[in-house]
Amino acid sequence: MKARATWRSTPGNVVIYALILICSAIFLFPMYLAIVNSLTAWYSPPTIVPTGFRWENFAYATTLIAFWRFMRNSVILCLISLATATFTSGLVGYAFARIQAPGRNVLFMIVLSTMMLPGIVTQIPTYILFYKIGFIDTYWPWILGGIGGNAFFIFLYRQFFSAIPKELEEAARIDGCSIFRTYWSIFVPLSFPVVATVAVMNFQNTWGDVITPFMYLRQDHYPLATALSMISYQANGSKQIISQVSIAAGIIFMIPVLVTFFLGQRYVVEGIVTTGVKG
Amino acid sequence: MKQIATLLVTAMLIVLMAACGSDTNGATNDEAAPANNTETDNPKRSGSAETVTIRTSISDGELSKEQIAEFEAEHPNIKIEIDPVDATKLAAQLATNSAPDVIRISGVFDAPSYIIRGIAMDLTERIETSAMIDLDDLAPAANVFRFDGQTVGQGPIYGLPKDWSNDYAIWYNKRAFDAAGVPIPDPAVPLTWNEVMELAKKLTIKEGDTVKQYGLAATEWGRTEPNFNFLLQYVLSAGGSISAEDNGVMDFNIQPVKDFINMWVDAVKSHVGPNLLNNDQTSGGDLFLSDKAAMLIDGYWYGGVIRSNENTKSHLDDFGMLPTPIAPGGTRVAPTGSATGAIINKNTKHPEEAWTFFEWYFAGKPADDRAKTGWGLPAFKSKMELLPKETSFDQQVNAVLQDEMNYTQFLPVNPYLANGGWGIFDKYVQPLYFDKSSVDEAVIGITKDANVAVTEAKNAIGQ
Amino acid sequence: MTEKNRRIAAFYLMISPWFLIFLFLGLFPLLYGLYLSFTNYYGFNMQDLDTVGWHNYRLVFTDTDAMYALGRTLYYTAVTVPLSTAIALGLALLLNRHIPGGGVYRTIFYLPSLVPVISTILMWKIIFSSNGGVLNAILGLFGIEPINWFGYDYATTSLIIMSLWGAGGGILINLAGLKGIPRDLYEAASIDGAGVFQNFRRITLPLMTPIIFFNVLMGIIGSLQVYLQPILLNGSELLARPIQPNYMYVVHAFQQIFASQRFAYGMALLWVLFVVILALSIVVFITSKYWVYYETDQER
Repeated sequence: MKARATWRSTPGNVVIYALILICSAIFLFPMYLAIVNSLTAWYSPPTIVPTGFRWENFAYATTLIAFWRFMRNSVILCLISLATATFTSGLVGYAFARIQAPGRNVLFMIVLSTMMLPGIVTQIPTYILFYKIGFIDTYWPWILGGIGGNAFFIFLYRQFFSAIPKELEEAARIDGCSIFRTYWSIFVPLSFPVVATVAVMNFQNTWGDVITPFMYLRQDHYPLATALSMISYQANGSKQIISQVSIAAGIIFMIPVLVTFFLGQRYVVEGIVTTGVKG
Repeated sequence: MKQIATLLVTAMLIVLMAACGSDTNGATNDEAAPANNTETDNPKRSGSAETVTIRTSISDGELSKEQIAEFEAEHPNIKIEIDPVDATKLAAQLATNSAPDVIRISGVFDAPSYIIRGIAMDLTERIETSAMIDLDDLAPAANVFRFDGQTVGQGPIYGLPKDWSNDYAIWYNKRAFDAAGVPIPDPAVPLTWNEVMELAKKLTIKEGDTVKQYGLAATEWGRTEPNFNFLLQYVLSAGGSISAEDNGVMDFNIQPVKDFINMWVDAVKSHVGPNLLNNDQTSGGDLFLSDKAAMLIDGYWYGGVIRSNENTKSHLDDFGMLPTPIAPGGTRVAPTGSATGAIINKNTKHPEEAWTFFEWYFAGKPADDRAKTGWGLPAFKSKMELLPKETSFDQQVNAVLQDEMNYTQFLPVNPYLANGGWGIFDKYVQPLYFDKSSVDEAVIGITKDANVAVTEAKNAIGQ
Repeated sequence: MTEKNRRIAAFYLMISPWFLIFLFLGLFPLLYGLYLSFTNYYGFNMQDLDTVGWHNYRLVFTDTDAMYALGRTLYYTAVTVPLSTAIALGLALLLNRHIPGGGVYRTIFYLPSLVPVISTILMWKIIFSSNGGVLNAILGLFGIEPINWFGYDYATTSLIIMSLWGAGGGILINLAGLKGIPRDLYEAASIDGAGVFQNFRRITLPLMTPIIFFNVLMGIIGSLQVYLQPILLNGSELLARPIQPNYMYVVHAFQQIFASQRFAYGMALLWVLFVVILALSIVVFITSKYWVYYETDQER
C-alpha cells in the first residue's frame, strides 16, 4: 500500500479548492432553499430567507401519511435488489468483457438496447404479463428483475473489466485457473470499487424508483418514493398540497441515500484499484 | 443462424445449470428462498370462503378507515380495499380486466367517455328500487352520470357523485379588497367575466416592479390563466356550442370562443395574477389565503379550505362567495365542472356486494358525514340541511348558494374528446401570451386537433 | 472439451440469468408492445383487437406535433449530453486529489441526482421564478435584465440548467475510472517532465474514454426519454401540457396514450423513439472504435 498523498497549499491546489467551493455553493443552493422552505408556515408562499423554524413540519411529514410503513417497503425492495442485481450483473459483465464466444457482440448489443428502451414502451405489456401470472402486488418483479441483472450495471462491469490489463488474466491462465476461479480470485477482488459503485447506485435506483412500484404494487405496499409522488400531503380535508411538509418529507427521504452515498463513496475512492492493478 | 445457435446453447445451459449446482445457481437459489417468504407475508388477505373483497379507487382521504370499519362491521361478508389509481394505472387495469369494482371518476369529464366505452354498469334499476336512494331527491348535478349515448343528463344512470360544486364561482378576500380600496361587488347579481377581469386589474397593487397583491387567482393549484374548463363554462353562458349534436364534429371557430380567449389574453398580459409571462411561481391558493390575491375562481367546496386554514379561520368574515360570472350578455349558469363520484365496473365479479358498498358510500352515513363538513355539495337535496350554517361566513355563502342552485348545470363535455381538450387548448393559447400566434390561428388549430382526437376516438370504438 | 469450448460454455452459463430474464421481461413485453402498435388498441378493447397494418406508423410521420416534439427532444439532447458529460468529468477531476474533506464535496456534487423529481421541481421553481426569484437577482448584479425563465424563449434553457444540476450523478463512475488509471503512468510521465495538461491529454483522457463513452451513451438514452421534468415544470398534474418549446417526444406519447386513450398510436410513437435511440447509439458505437481506448482491443 502506498502512503496517502498529502495536500499542500500550492497555488494550483488553492485554485482548485476555490473552484470546488464555488461549485459546492452552486450545487448546494437549491438544497438550502429546500430546507428554508420546509420550515415555513403551512400554505405560505416560497421564500429565500428563513421566515420561520417550524420543525414540526418534519413530524407532520411522518404522521400525515403512513410514512414509516412506506419506508419499510422501500427497505424491503432495496434489499431484494441489492442481493440479486449487484451479483449477477458482475458475472454477466465479466463474461462480456473477458470471454470470447460466438454471438457475444450480438448479445451485448441486446444488453445495451435494453437500456435504450423507453420504459413506457413495455409498461403496459409488462403489466398484462404480470397480471396473468399473478405477480401484481408481489415482490416477484423485483426478485426476477434483480436476478436478470441490470443492463446499466452489466455495462459498467463490462467497461471496468475491459480496462483491466490482459496480462493479469494471462498469468492466471498459465497457472491453470478455471474461468470462474479467474473471475473470483483475480477480477472480483480488483472490482471492489465498481462493486461499491454498483451497490450504491443500485440502492439509489431502487430507493428512488417511482414508476415500477406504482404500476405493480398497491398503495399499502408502495415504497417511500412512490408514496411521496402519488400521495399528497393534505390536512383537514383540504385538497391543497402543503408544500412545506412535502419538502420536509423529501428531505427525510433523501437521508438514507445520502448516508449510503457518503459511506459508499469512500470505498470507491479509497479503493484498491491502484495497488491491485499494480500487483 | 448465429442467434439460433445461441438460443440453443443457452437452452442447453439452463438444463445444465439445473442439474449441477454452479456458483450462479447456488446464489440465485439462496436469494429466492427468503424472498419467497416476504412474498407470502405480503398481505393478500384471502379471508374466509364467503368473504368478498370489493376494491375501489376512492381515495383514503374520501373514505376513512373508521368508515370502512363501520361498513365491514355491518356487512361481515364484504371487505373494502382501497386502491387509488390514476389514469395510467387504471388504463393498465382496464386492459387486463382488473380494474377496481367501484371506479372513482369525474362525472363531468370521465363519465360519458367511460359509459361510451362500455365500462360502467347500468345502475338505473338498482337506484330506482333502492331503499336508501330516492330518485326525486337527487340533486340536478347528479344527472351528469346519466347518458343515453348522445346527451348527458338523459338516459340510464351509471353512477353518482359523492359531491359537487358550482366550480366557477368567485371567492373574495376582503382584506385584499380593502387594501386596494375597492368595494366588494353585490353578491346578488353575477358579474360578467369581463367585469371580473376589470375588477382584477383594479385590485392588483404594484409597488415599483414588485407586485404587492394580485387581483385574481384562477385556480388554487396553479397560475391565473384560462383553461379548457373555463372556456366551456363561458361558452355555455354565451349560448354557443362547440360540439355538434352527435358530438362527432367540433368547431371552436365561433365568436364566444374568440371573445373568451381575447379577454383572457388581455388579463394575462395585464398580470392580474401569477402567469407564464410574469413567471411568478406561487400557486393561486397560497396567494389567496395569505391575502396576496383578492379573488379566486372556485366552487362552494373551497369554503371548506377557508374554514380550516390556519391563516384564515380566525377571520372568516373577511371571506365570501360571489355568484358564478357569466359571459357578457349571456345567460346565468352555475355549472359543476367535476362532480367527482364513482361508477361500478361492468366486469365486476361481485355486482351485488359492489352495489351494497356503492349504495352505502353514496347514500348512507358517509354521505351525511361529507355534507356536514361542507367540503362540497351533497348529491341529495335532502342532505343540503346538513351543510355548515353556524357562522356568518357560512350564512353569506349559503345565501349566494341558494341563488346559484337555480342555475345548476354541468359543463358540456364532448365524450369523444374528454380530457384531451386541456392539452389542445394550452398548446394553441399559450403562444398568444408571447405574441407568437393570433386568436384566429388558435381557434383553427384547436378545431383541427380536437377533430382529429374525436375521429380517432370514434374509430377506436367502431362508430 | 477443449479450452475454447469450455470458455464458450462458461460464457453462456454466466450470462444465462440475464438472458432468460431478458426473454421473459424484456423481449416478450417489447414484442407485445410492437404488436399492439399495429392494432387499434385504445385501452378498453383488449378482447377484440383488430390489426391496422402500418396505419399508426404512417400517422407518426404526418403528426406535426410528434415531429416538432422530436426536434425539441433532439435539441435538448444535443445540448445536455456534452455539457453534463463534461461537468461530471470536470468535477471528478477536481476531486481526484487528496483534498481535505473530499468525501463531503463528493457528496455535495452527487446530492442533486438523489433528490426526488418532485422536490427538484419545487426548488427550481423558486430559483427561476421572476417574483423574488434568485437567478434574476444574481444576474441583476451583473447588470443583466430579468429573464422570464419559463417563457417561450428560455423554457428549454431552464430545463437544461435543471438537468445539468444533476450532472454530478456521473462523478462516481468517473472517479472509479480515474482511480483505475495506474499511478505509475503519471510517475513515468512526470520523470519525462510532462505538465498537468499534457498528463490530462496523453494519459487521463485516453484512459477515461471508456467511461466517457458510457456517459455519453447513457446521456443520450436518458435525455431522449425526458418527460417528467418538463411536465412538472409547467404544471402539477401528469397530464398537464408543458409550454410548447418543452413539449418533448415522450410527453407527446404520454398525452396520446393517457389523455386521448390512443394506446396503439402511443405504442407506435414510442417504437419510433426506440428506433431513433437505437440508431443514435449505433452511431456512437461505430465511432467509438476511433476514440475509445480498450486494453482488450489489443487481442484483435
